[in-house]
Amino acid sequence: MTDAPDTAPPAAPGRAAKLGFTALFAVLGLAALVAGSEIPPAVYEPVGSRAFPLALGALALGLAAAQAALLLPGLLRGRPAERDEPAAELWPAEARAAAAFALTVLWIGLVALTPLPFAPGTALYMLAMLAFLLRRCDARFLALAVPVSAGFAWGLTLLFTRVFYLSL
Amino acid sequence: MPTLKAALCATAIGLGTAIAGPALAEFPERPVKLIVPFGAGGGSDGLARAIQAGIEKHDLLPVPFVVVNAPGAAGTVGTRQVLGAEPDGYTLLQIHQEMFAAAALGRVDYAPDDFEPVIQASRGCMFVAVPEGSEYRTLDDLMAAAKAAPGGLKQADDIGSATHFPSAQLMSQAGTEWRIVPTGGTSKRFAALKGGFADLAFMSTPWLTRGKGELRPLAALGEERFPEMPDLPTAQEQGYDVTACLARRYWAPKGTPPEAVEAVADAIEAAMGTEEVQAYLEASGEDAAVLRGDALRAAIEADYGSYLDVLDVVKATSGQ
Amino acid sequence: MLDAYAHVFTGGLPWILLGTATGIFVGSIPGLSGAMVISLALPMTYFMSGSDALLLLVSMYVGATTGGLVSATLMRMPGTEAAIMTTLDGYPMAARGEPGRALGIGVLASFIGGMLAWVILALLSPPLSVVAVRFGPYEIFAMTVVALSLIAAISRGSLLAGLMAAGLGALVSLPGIDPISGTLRLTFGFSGLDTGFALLPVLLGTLVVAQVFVDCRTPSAPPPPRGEAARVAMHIRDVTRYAWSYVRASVIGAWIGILPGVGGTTASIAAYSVEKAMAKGPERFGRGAEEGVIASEAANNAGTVGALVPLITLGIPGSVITAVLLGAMVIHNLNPGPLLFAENPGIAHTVIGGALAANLAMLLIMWLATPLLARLMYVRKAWLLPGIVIFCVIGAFSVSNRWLDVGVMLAFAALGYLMHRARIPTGPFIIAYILTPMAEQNLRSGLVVYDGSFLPLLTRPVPALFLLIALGSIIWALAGELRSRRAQRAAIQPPPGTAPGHENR
Repeated sequence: MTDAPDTAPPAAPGRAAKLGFTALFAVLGLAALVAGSEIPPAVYEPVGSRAFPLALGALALGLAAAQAALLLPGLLRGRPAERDEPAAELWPAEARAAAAFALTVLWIGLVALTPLPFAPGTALYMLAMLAFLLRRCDARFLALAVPVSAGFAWGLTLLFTRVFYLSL
Repeated sequence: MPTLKAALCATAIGLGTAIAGPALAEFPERPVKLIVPFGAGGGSDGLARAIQAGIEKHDLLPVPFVVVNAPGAAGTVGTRQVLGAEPDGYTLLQIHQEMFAAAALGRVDYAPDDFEPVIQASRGCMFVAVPEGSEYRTLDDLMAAAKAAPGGLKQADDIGSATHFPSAQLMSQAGTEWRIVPTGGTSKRFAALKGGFADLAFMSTPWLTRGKGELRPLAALGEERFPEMPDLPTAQEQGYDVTACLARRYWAPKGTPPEAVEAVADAIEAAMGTEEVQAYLEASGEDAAVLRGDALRAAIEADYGSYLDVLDVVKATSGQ
Repeated sequence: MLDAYAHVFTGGLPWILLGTATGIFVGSIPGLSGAMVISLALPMTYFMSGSDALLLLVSMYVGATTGGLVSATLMRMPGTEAAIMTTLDGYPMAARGEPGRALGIGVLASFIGGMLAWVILALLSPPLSVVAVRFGPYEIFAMTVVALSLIAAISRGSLLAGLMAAGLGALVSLPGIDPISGTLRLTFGFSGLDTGFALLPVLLGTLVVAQVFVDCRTPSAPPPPRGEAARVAMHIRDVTRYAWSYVRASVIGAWIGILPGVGGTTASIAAYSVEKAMAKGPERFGRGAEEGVIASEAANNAGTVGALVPLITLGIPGSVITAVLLGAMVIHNLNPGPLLFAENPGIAHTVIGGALAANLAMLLIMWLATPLLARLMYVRKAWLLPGIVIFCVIGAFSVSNRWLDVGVMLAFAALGYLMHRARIPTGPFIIAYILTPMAEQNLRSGLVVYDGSFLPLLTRPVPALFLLIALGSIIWALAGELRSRRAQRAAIQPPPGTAPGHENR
């Protein structure tokens, strides 16, 4: 996550995220400018292939600069900003989302890059996600979640590989 | 859990075959996958689905024949998938000259030589069209106007596509150049002609009837006249050695065993005779044009050669 | 044409019912949006005929707009964005002991709004398409500029955020094959980017998977307390008494929906304001005024149907969902745009007929299923989230049978999550992502047609008019932005340290 670390003033996630987004936006705009300037200029019509990348790249940098100018004074002064929703008890909300994302990336990475077949990988992923989200791992939960995950994963896999012939 | 067991079994078998490699006896023992590098619903997809239906309904292969759409980047996304596939005959590609266009322009790092041609199935020739109200009544009128004002005429087309190359052939035959207005597929070209934003376009045969009263055909771009419009002379008859026909061909990865190529080609050739494929040809205005083996190789070489010949003209009219 | 209608009401009927019911169901669950379910359903439609696919998606669209009414009325949570205004008066009505009547009025308003807008759709689309067929590249370009400028107008109050979102969407649409010269650009030498960022991974990532990760933040929040299961009470008296409110809101909603770039939400806000201004007792609004529910619900459904007009006659999307529908038509090779009526009249009339059938199905399903829906709203979302991700992964994979697109989807999910945290709206992002290539292609095509001259943009009447509209909406948005900033500063200055009061959730 490009989110700014916890050095930001407390309880200002909206602002830190906005700064992260602005930085990302500026980087992408710069990339479009650099790559766009390497495209040969047009001879066939006056605008050419490079015009949109260059114009949009410049626009992005301009907007990002404007946003940064609006955000930075507030951040530097450390004015308390809008409050976040009530924090979850065990894990900070941001970390929960990041963990769910990491779990998903791990699942896709394993299924796409290693010989782990799609169906068992997906069943394990679903089980892990359910346990993580519901914060349960007791027998009653497993009795329900294991068949649900396995059924869902194998059912979908069979449907899409046998009926629709995707090479999952 | 029988499903689970079955699925595990299936995966194990699948893994086993993958490890055992291509050179097993009795070629088709699992589904044959045909990659169509264009979206569902287009002409390429139409033929592929018709061939699939023909093969399945008439049991022309002992295994399922599966069509997979892998569109993107003018057909190169799907083409790359076949390029990188195991050369075992289980992964095939169906594409027309768009592959030659991408290779000739150097947009990709592969060439037709990197594939094993399997069979050519059908061909659809285009015609030269001008708007009904146009002042040009013959191809000669049009070419004279092009010569009188080089760069003045506008042709609705796709830059760098499989129809840009035959357009360039016509330009070099007429000894002049005109501009390509980038529009898109045939229906967009039709709109450009109708709105007066272009002077000419290459159109596919269904537009002979669909564009009646709006389009004036000037020349057929095949070797022979269209049966549905026998009065329309070909460009060759009028002294311009140009043809523009999309030939739908099947390819396998380089190194695919000849037996596998033969087995698939047999099935596709047999499918060409089924009512499913005939219905497709009827609707699309294409003709069955089966070519195999050396005849196919020769046709591909001539085709790709003709693309390379006009590469400079194509580049000159793409603004590069 | 009759064939198309016959198909809609026979072979297409199962898809209509399925689509409407799914749309209503998803629309009624806060956090699951219509754009989300349609993006999810899109890959499934690869395996259907083009016309059935459109029937399914159009009815999901109609259903999702309506479904938001249930949770808005019973729980004060808009199930979909378009139901925001319904919470203002629907919930107070329910709270004072008339939940059934509030729902009944809302369902009827949705139905009447949808039907009146449908009449406009059916009457206006064919002649509009005849005019639009003559539109050249500059005309289309000018219209995309209008649609893009309306992004600014709908982002009033947070203009910079909307513009950044749109700028990012435009940037993301650039890599791949240049639509005009056919050469590659911004691929950074990576052949996987030759086709750019494909529609489906971008949509699924930013709209669906990102929302899942947002929901992962607080999945164990206890479900809201169970309310009394309500039934839908529809009274003739409520129709006759507020007849003019229904008509006014429907007409306003339909016309706003027709504007390229805006959809049901804007329509319902506008209709609500008008209704409040015209009402005899405006102070009742916000405390359970029947006309408030009527205005919001009639206008959002009318706007939903109205947004189909630019979609099928011009090929220009009016909202995020119609942008997804446009993508669906492209995927099925249906050439959305002025030629649709000439070339593929069956499809055009299928969309129109589908909107009619979906409205009828909506009335029936809402009447029968609302009590059930009221109970289903309490399902724990944690059970749904992993399944949604799995569906999205398969959907992104199925685009071109490659894992790369799944990776792209996950990257855009991260981006969408960041945007959510930063309160950057995703609507402008999606609309700009879809419209920018259209704008670029038509501008550059026009330059070839007019010998490199920009002048026809100003001398041809249609482009000039549209550019004027675009300029007007940008000025309007800028003025509003300046005013709200000034007001904000004035509000903040006197007592130092007061939290800025904007963008409350």
